[in-house]
Amino acid sequence: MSVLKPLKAWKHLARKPHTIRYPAQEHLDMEGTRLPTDRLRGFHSNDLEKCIGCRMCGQICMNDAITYEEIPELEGKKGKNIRPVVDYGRCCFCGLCTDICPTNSLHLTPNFKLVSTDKHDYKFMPTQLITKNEDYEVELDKVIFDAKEYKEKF
Amino acid sequence: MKEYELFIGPQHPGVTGNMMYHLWVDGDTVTKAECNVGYLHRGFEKLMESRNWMQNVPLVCRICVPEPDVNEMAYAMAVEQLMDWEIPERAKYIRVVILELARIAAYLMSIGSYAGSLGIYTLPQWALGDRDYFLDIFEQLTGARVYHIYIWPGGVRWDMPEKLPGLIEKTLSYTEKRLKLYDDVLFKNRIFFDRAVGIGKIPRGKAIEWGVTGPNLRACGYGYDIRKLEPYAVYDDMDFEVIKYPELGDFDVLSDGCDAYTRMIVRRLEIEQSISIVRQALEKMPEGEHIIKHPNWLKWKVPPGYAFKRVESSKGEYGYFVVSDGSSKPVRIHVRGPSYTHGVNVAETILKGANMADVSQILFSLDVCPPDIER
Repeated sequence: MSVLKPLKAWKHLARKPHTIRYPAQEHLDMEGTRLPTDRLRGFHSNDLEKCIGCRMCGQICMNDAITYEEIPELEGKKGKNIRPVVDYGRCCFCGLCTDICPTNSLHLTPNFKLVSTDKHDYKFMPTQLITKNEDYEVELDKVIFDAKEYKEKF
Repeated sequence: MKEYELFIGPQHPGVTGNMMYHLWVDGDTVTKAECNVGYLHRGFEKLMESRNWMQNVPLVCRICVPEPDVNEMAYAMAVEQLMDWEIPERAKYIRVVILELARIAAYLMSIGSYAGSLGIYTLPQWALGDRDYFLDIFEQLTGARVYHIYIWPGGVRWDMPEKLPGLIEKTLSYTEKRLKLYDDVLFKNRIFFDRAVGIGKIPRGKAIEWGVTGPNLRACGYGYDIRKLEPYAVYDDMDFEVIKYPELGDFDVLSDGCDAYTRMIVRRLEIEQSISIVRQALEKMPEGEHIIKHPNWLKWKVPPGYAFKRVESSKGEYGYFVVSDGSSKPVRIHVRGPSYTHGVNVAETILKGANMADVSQILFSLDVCPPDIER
């Protein structure tokens, strides 16, 4: 027991703070790995060409966050011409929809930043624009995708 | 003197979350205390009846925010018993690692907030900052910082990344170094001795009757730990001793137990215990599968029957009673949470006669988690 021992805390005055100035400063872990890593569960990415519109993701979603929208251009391809639309006001990012996906087209990406004053911006069709390699650089306008904008890949 | 009423919470920093204590105070002494909850009620037990077996996994972790993994573990163990599944060895070791890391993170939060209630505001900043390094580990292992949704019936969701054991070891040795500073600032501080010794005493003879569990019961001198009594995962392979009053290691035994002082010292010592368990689990971890193959989640039917599984959390004992009638949804899931007993009947009784200034330190030393009270 000592009255002076707690004063050791003063030596922290000369130390760097825990706090980082996010996003100006990078978030690194103890070993210097950049966070978030690929495993972080953020926004979805869906390969619209690979997806067959089987509605499994909507059935397992316990928050009813997934609805479907028709894309007439996909008529004649394998499966149905519907693709999932995710309401991120409801989504809890558990990722059950991606684990149940039979074609592995639906993924969760480490991209989690979305700021908007309009609630409708939080409901959109995830596309592959948020791909694994590009997640850090994707801009918000590119992520918000309307079914009408769909163009076939050649 | 005329009695007056005082409300602590739900926005008061001196209460452990979104809950309220209604106090009747005579001068400076509490004459009656009443726990008032309802700010966090989400009806977990009823919700679970309307969701299928897999949809419940992202729900159960929300029953305790600072340490969600114990809920996933208890639920997963109960479902595994009903399904008669034997899970892979590697999954068991990964489960022990994440459960113990979560315990350390929860203790850091609890110690930090306790120090804040004594007016030592340095430690809350440090402890929450250090807890963040554990959240970094969780983020890389499970994909989320708080609600991990990682322990699934049948194993764990993903395998451990190759680089992670190095990061875990680094974080643990950093925490060990920091614990010495914590000792200087809180656990060997004169303020702590003067204020915490003999405060908030749970009568030793009543502790079992009141349903006290976890570190609070071990501070009363009972060596009761589910990890030893009913070892789950691979706790029977781990070498550790149950920490209980009066075996407090380097720390002085200043009271006859059961008080806020002993409870916090037990928590402090259990951080070191958890660090050693994580190291042992990482060392002994075998190679192999991490999860067994699941049936189709939408058509998954669990055989009829019931299972009760217990796990030891940083707050106390969690128990899950799961009943199945052979359909794709559970009939009933009952959760036995430690905070219900600690936060309602124990707190209401031991707050009587306490000094007004000691109310928040008594509440923090019980380590109550409000979402668990009103599940």
